[in-house]
Amino acid sequence: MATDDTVLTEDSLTRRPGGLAVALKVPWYRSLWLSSVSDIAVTVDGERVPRDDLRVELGERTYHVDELKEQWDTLWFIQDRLQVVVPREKPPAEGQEVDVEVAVELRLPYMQIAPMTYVTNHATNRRTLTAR
Amino acid sequence: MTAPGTPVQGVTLYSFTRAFHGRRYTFEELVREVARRGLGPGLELVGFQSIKGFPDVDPGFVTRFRSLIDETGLVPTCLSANADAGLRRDRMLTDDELVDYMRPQIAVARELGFPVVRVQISLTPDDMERLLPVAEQHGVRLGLEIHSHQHPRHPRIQALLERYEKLGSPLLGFVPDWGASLRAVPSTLLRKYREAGYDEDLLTGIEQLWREHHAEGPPMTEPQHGRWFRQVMELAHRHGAGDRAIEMAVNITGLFGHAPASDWAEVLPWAVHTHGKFYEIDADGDEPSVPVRELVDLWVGSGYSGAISSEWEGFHWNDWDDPFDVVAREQALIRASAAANGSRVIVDPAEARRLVGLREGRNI
Repeated sequence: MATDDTVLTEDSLTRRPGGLAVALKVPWYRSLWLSSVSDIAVTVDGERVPRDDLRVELGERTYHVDELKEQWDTLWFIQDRLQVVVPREKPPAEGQEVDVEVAVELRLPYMQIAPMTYVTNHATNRRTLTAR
Repeated sequence: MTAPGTPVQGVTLYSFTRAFHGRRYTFEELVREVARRGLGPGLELVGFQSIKGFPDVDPGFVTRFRSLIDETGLVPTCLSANADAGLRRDRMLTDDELVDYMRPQIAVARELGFPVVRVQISLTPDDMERLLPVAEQHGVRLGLEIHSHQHPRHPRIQALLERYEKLGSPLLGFVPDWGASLRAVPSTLLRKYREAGYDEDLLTGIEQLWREHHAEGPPMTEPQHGRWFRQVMELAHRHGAGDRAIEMAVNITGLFGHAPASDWAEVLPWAVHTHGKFYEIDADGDEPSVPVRELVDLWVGSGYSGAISSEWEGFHWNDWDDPFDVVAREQALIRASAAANGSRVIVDPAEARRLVGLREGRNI
């Protein structure tokens, strides 16, 4: 599935105390367990944010990107958003335009091609988003 | 001689993935739109796509879904389940865990009123045998999907067929997916790659590889399929496809299968549901990549009277066609093909309910 254009939407960017949050849609046709998320990379105004600085929120819970692989009992529903929280020295002002690129790497748990090897999906989406 | 089959017209909501994923429709709105446009009566959905929290479905959803079915007159045909054997990162699920993973998905099919559950190739013949009592308990049929790159003559499918014959239960069967029987690479995919700026040599090379694989015939071993996959990867990398190389290899060797239509004859008596997979409909109303007419000839000729879900997978790359229109066009092609065989496609809900195994006026 060509999914690059499906990750970000025009309302994806919200302001947070100390930074911003980017809302992501799952780049696949069905809901997936969070353990299917191999990696998330975020670049803001051309600057790659270190992975350890990112926090991922789904519902009431917050994870480091590296912890997602262990979450095999939490489902990311396809109409729900994952919020990726990014710390910024200067949070954007309301209405400010920010250049955001997000890359999501998935491993599809039902599409095995060899022992412990699964089909992957890599989606990269870059947009100029207006902070809300 | 077998009496001609009268397949039931239907659709899977998978065809409308972009619209649902993009939140242009709620689940209820999408089901109503399908009914309003006459794309039923058969209705299939993918549990992990359409239902939040699946397979842990709350009673309120069950009530709302059953009301929606009553309101629209649609007929539940198949609930597509997933066998997520790779759920955990540290190891594959054991057979016990995978069987347990399927149980609630089968149970919820019954609650929602679906007569068939689509299951996937991660399940072995032993797993299917262990799931038979679960199917019996809930009164549903289990259909293991025969999806490219598997195909009817693939050893894994043959092993399942052998087990089904030994067990002899009407509750175990297959869901043939027409994507295992393509005759050409969909032109819309090549158009998309062209528009994305890939050079003509890559596009020609991809088609050439697909035709070479087609001449070899459907893959009988995993190493053979692996070799094809690497061929496409290498070609794509040579032409600078980068991150897109895997997607190209998955499409070319994973979606567009090579089984001759006639290969299906052996497993059709075990078909409990069908995925009428297609990618595009041309100006003449034909499907250039999937031999729909030939497949319908075979399905009708073998006496198949289950549901055929129109399953438009062109949405993976085609973001310009209207999915509802293109589904309607495939359904017209299927109806015309059945008529050319002196038969017909069932669009009447009452007849459809009877044929898919639902009793009149109530769900199973």
